[in-house]
Amino acid sequence: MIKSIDEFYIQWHITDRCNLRCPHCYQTEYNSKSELSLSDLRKIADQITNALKKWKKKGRIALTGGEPFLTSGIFPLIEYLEQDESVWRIGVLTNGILIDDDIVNRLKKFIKLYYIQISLDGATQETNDFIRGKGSFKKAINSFRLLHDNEINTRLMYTVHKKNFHDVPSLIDLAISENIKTLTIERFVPEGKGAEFKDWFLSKDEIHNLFLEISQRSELEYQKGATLKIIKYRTLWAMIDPDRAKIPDVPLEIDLGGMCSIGIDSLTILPDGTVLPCRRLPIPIGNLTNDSIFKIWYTSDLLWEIRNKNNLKGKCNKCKLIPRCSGCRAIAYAMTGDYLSEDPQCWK
Amino acid sequence: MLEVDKILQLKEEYILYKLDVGDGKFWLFNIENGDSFKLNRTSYDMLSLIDGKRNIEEINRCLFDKYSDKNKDLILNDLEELIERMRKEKIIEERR
Repeated sequence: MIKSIDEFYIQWHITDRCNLRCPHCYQTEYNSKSELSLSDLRKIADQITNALKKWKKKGRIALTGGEPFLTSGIFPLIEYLEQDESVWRIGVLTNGILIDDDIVNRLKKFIKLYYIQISLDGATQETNDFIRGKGSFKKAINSFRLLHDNEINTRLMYTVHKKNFHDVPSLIDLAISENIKTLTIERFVPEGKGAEFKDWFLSKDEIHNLFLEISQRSELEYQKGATLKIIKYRTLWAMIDPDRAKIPDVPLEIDLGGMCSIGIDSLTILPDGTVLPCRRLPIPIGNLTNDSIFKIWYTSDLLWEIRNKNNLKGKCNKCKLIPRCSGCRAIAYAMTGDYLSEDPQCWK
Repeated sequence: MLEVDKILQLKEEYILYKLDVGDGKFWLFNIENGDSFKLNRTSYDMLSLIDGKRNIEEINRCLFDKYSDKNKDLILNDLEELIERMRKEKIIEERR
């Protein structure tokens, strides 16, 4: 499988409401004040699809929150989005707590619904529920099973930090045993509510050892023919094996490294239409209820600063791995206040 | 033939952008309909001078200064061609 270069990713947070209060959350507000009407959501959808057509990109749109299933607008919005030819795939990013037969039956009719991503923060009830709240592990696992029973593709999102990185080997076991197709292990970005938990941030050595362990395990599982794909085309991963990029048409399952997508092929939209370069980099660059998506994309100084990799500082500046890394700008910002500074977890 | 006292400007939906990497990358964007045009350095320099303040004679002088090693007739010809094309594409207009 070859990585598509024609994809544009939109992460669209349609509500701030949430039924969980995870300590490491990037949000600080959990109310419905900023939610838009379905008619306004459709206007934003039109802006997105117009841009996708203009740029000749295939849109992958992930709807999320907060907890997206707390809003009734999610189903008509998916229905609206999937009617447009420029929308290629739709995902829903959820905590999985509310998923039941009714929701699954409604989801099943969407042709372009490609995956439901559920977050876990531990491989066991003990670790997960300490972070996400009592009962959340069992409910999430039940949701995975219900979705699989109904042949809906799933992904597992794991935000890794000091309180749960020891669980990662067991998490991979869990993902395989539960028939989960894709596992994403994202580094914790201490912003929003999570800014109070900077001591959960992993050291360079801890991240290095963890990525090495995951990479080795991932290759082993790939050789064994496991169907689980562990996402590793993200920043820092390229350092595990800088020569991996030389392998022609390397399969995604064993690919390592990817550049930060800010300013290249992704945008984040908040419930009130505010646009962020990435959900974890909380600097507004416009609002789609007032600004055109083209104005934001073409005139944002922040996007241009990040697009120009000569602006990166410290180790990231002139790093030979830039085409496959460039560091996480959100982590740089959360830890130093400067989104152009070197990635604080780079072990190079 | 260009009327040298004419003052032209980019229409308000158009913006120019320069990225300082390598020898530079240059674009013209329409922020309303999303059109984008990749420019070479000379076209970028010329369009930057079409700013609603300078007339064509002044633009010519600026270009002669900047490209003093180039043939003046060639510069005039390039500018004329660019203006003609941009007017046709409705990218530039006379200052109101």
